[in-house]
Amino acid sequence: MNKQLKDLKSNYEEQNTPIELEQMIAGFKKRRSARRFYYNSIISIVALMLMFLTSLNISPVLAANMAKIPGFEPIVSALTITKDDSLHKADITVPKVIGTSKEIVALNAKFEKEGKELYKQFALDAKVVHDGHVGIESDYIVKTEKTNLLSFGQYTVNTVASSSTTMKYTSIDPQKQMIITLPSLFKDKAYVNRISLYIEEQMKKEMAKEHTDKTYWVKTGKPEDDLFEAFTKIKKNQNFYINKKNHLVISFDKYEVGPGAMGIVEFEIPTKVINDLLLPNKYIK
Amino acid sequence: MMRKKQEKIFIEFIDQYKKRFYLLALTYTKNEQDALDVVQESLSKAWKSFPTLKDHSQLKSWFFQILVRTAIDFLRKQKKICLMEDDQIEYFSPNQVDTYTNIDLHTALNNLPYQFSEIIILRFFEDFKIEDIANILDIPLSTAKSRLYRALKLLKIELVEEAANHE
Repeated sequence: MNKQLKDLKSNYEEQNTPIELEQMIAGFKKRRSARRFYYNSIISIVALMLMFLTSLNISPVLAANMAKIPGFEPIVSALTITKDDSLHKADITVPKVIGTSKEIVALNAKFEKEGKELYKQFALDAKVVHDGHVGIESDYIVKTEKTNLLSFGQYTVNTVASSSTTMKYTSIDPQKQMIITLPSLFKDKAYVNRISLYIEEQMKKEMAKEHTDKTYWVKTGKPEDDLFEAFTKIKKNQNFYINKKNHLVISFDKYEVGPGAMGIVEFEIPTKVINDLLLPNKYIK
Repeated sequence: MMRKKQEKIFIEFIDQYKKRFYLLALTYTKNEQDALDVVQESLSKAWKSFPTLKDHSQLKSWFFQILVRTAIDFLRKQKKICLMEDDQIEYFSPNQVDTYTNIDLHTALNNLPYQFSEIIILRFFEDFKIEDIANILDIPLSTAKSRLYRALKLLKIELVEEAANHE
């Protein structure tokens, strides 16, 4: 090698590294082995069983759920709040993912908090609109359930005068006890544009069909384009789930990409569209 | 267990190269804390998808690919970069003076736009083949070659034939 390059190389290699590098690497290793501990250890299974038995006693809903379905369930109803006095109706069911990892515990805590907040908001609305209809309904639907993949959506229908529906999906790897986020599936952020382009194309295609009642807020080159804010890009953390065919499905809430009549809009993304951008993974095929 | 074996390979790899991860990240971020963040994020990403890496002989170039992408992603988030053609990159680079001492040369390398410094580092400090580099940086082979050539020129390093060609 050229002498200048040799010198340059030794200069490069002799740079100091901060002590935090060692600390960070040590922390990383520790977390890895902690996770492995959960995998292999009988203790964790015992702990899980204990937790299970206790929660069976506490929650009749959980018990009912367990009785209903044979075998081990990765997700159960943890909390059900109901109230019904002809005018004001609340029916909130909060899911709980079975797991002991930090991520899962935090997720469950978040669900519980959100559920309670929904009810609080409902109680508040009911007070304000004491002689009108106020309703809240929230539950979850499991979309995909495999050994290494659990995708489910939580929907909330809010009725105060008019109704609005929202859907929030969550995907989890029950084996690794990890939350699967949209960015974590891809090598870099290129997926945002790739998926957006594909969806835009599909929207236009669907609208171009004869006798279609589908309308999306997408640029068509017509004057009415100016009436709305056209869809350009999905969010980095756009709502998504992975369906039974292991395909990615992108979901938009009511009003997000089209008029309310369209409701919740979902697009299945063919894997070949995004294949080269995916990090190697077991979830999307 | 499979997982245990995988973990051993991964941890050994980290221990062997951790300093190099950091130095490469630093080339992009120019800042200690950000470089650490980039390394940490790359480690998590890599660990998550490690079970699906079939050919472990590719581990180093596979990991560096993740590291480079994470670093560039980070710069994008910071809006510290904009996309330019190679010609423009050169145009906007600081003027290079004629001679360097070794220390100056090092500074010069640091001051190059990352499109040039990364290629020098990967080629000469990390000993990747030019084909691997094209793959890691996700650019055509011809672009990789011409960037390497320009980078050396910008650093005023006498071109030896081996520089542009791989062994």
